[in-house]
Amino acid sequence: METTEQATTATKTSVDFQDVYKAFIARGRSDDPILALADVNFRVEPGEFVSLVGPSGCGKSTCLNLLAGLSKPSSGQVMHHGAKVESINTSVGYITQDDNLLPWRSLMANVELALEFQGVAKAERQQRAQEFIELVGLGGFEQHYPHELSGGMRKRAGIIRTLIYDSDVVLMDEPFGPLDAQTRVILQAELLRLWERSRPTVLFVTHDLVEAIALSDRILVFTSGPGTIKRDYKVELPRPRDPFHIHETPGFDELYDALWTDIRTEIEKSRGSGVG
Amino acid sequence: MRDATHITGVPPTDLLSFGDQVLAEERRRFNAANRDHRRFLITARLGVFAAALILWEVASGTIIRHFFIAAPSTVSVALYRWAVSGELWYHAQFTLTATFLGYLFGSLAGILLAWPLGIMRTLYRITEPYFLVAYSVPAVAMGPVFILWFGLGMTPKVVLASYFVFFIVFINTVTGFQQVPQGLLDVTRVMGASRIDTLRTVIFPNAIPYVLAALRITLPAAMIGAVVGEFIASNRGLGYLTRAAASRYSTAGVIAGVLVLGGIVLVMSLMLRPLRHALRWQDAVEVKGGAD
Amino acid sequence: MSAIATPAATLSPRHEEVIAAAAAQHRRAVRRERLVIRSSIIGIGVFVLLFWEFGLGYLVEQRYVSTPSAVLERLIGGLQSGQLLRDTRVTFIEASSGYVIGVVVGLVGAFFLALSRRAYEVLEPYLLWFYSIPKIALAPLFIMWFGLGYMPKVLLAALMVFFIVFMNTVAGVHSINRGLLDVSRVFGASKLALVTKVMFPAAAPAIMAGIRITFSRAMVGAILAEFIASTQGLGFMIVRGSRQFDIATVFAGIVVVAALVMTVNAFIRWLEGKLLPWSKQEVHG
Repeated sequence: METTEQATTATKTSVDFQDVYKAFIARGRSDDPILALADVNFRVEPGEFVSLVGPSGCGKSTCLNLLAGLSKPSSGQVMHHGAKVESINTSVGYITQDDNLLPWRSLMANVELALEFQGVAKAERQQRAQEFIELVGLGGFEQHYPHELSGGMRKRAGIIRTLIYDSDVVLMDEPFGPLDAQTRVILQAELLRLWERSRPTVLFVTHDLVEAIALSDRILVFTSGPGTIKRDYKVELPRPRDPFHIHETPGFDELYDALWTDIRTEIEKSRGSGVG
Repeated sequence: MRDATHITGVPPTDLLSFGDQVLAEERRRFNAANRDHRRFLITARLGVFAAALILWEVASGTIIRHFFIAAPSTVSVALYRWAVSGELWYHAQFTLTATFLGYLFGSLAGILLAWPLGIMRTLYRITEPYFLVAYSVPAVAMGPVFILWFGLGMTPKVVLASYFVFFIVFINTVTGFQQVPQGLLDVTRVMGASRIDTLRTVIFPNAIPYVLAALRITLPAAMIGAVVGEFIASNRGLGYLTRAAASRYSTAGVIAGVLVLGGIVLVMSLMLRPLRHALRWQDAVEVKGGAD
Repeated sequence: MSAIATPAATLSPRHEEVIAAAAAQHRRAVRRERLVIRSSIIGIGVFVLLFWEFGLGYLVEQRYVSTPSAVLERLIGGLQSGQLLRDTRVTFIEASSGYVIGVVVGLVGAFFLALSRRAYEVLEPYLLWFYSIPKIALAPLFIMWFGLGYMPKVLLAALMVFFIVFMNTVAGVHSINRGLLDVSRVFGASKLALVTKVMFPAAAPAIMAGIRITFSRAMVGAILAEFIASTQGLGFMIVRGSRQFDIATVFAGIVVVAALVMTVNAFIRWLEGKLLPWSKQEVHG
């Protein structure tokens, strides 16, 4: 599946949300459904790094769950490489907000996990895991269990254990959420470095506008619930980027202000009518 | 910038050693306070023990009739007689055998039944009401049933001990199977885990700490089951020995029996304590249930 | 994910349509699942009873297992003669008075121990020893002391309850957030006020957990003591049935015991909801 396949996938859209609606039944409470997504349409081309931003609860994470096949749209369809996603989509990689490392497996065994499921021979998967572990500077911690690692180390482990199996779309749901500001920026830089290696398609959910600008090619702004796409920004800042100095790049301020204005009106809207 | 001497009153070159001095002094004070506290605890604890023992010895036969509380000396004599005559070992052997067999069968049954019920949600919801009803029957009440079914020998005690163990292991193992964080399941499924992969890499390992925690508390429970069986009907075992002493109105014998039973349970609990830290990858989990 | 507030103003007819469809689908799924589960539960129960009544006798001797109809007969007969009610009353009085005594003494004991951390530290190993000693081993002793009447049963029931309530309360008090105590001290709370106004309310969930689960232990204490030596009560009914090889009576007794335990547990939960509406109860399942 080398050159010929690549040529065809390049012309094919990687991810395509077509008229997607998603209604939830909130568990435990009344049976009143809540509309999380309404009329969501967007496409992502192969190799694009796309961030989804918007007020809390606007259904950004729901988009990722739909693409991973963990839940189904109430109406409309989610396409991955031209095929409708109808069950668990094992050709994406999913990096969740919690690191979700298996607590009973060492760092090495956690990184190997996906290759183990794919039936890769032990020697080979250990070698590849070792390579990735070294790549993010976790060498020497191979036999440590997750609870013996720091928050930043666990995040790195969560990222490389997903990148190791070369899925062409990587979903990231606020992966750096609970980290302190410095660790965040360091990990953003590392993520960019890893991404540049093979340039997979990335859908990245975040609250942090600076993070979105630093990482993405495009930024989709969602409205408050029901979430729908309000605006689609292109980030034209040159690559490779340096997250430590991203705010000094020409063009950053204008983009940031535009994004913030969009989001602020959404937050005010949901305040005004939702909580009341 | 001002000279450090102005602030501390110590020349800057000595600052480091001065800091060390302060730290050493602080450490010394802390250790001394700690030592004092430990000394106080040990003396006070021994004091309480000695006082209780002396009070018991003196009060027995003076304030309280011998019949109610035999003096420690009398109890020791009774224990010594049992030990020397071999009676103690003879009876302990039966109780311990019933305990270990009950522990083995009960935990095995608990784990094996929890397996299908823990991973099949619908099956669990269907059977749950029956387990809840069965669980609210005090295990003790099943004693006469088992004796009626299996006679006076070892079997009813083993069955009763198993029954005591079974529910605790069962409930905790089911919990272990069910309490798998949804995130772990989602992530591994997206990675391409098959049903078997999920069981092997996520669900089983998640249950292990729960099973270990249950196994830690159920050995004493098995012993209690065996002894209850012996209380109700038997002609050997430590439960029988104690009850026989009671029917002869031998207070010293009964107290000696209670002490032996308590001692064995205590030793069992202590023996199984290391299980709490058996898994390097996590801390102890909380257990449900318990029996005595 | 947090709940999503849906501003009514932004809902178009298309939105309403999707919501209504999702709600209908959810209701159908819930209804179908409930139907399957309820009918399976009832089905299993009916099957077991029928098999016990008509089939089990072919596998094992009838006199070992009896039949549901015979058990029902014993229950009805016992009700008619009044003997069953008398036995239930005796056991209930033993267990419930033991329960109340155990709870009260456990709380009071923990209260005094909470006043002094030092005293607790000194006594800790002894308390842990007593805690791990099987209380039911004391049954023969109590019976020898107090004979056949209520006393040994009540005492054993109380002892079974006492330690759980006591240890839970002490553990609850000791796990209180230190910051809470410090703040109260800064506000000038006296030692007594600290214990009654801060420590006990803060430890209330742990205390209630101990109180909520222990009635069945009181029943164990009462019944076991009745097994060993008594002339009345449900335990006596069961053990006498067993000696007379009357398994139907044994099962009838067990049914009543289980019903009693479940009723009282439900009552305790109801009472807790009335008295302490803020305490959160764990719901099983």
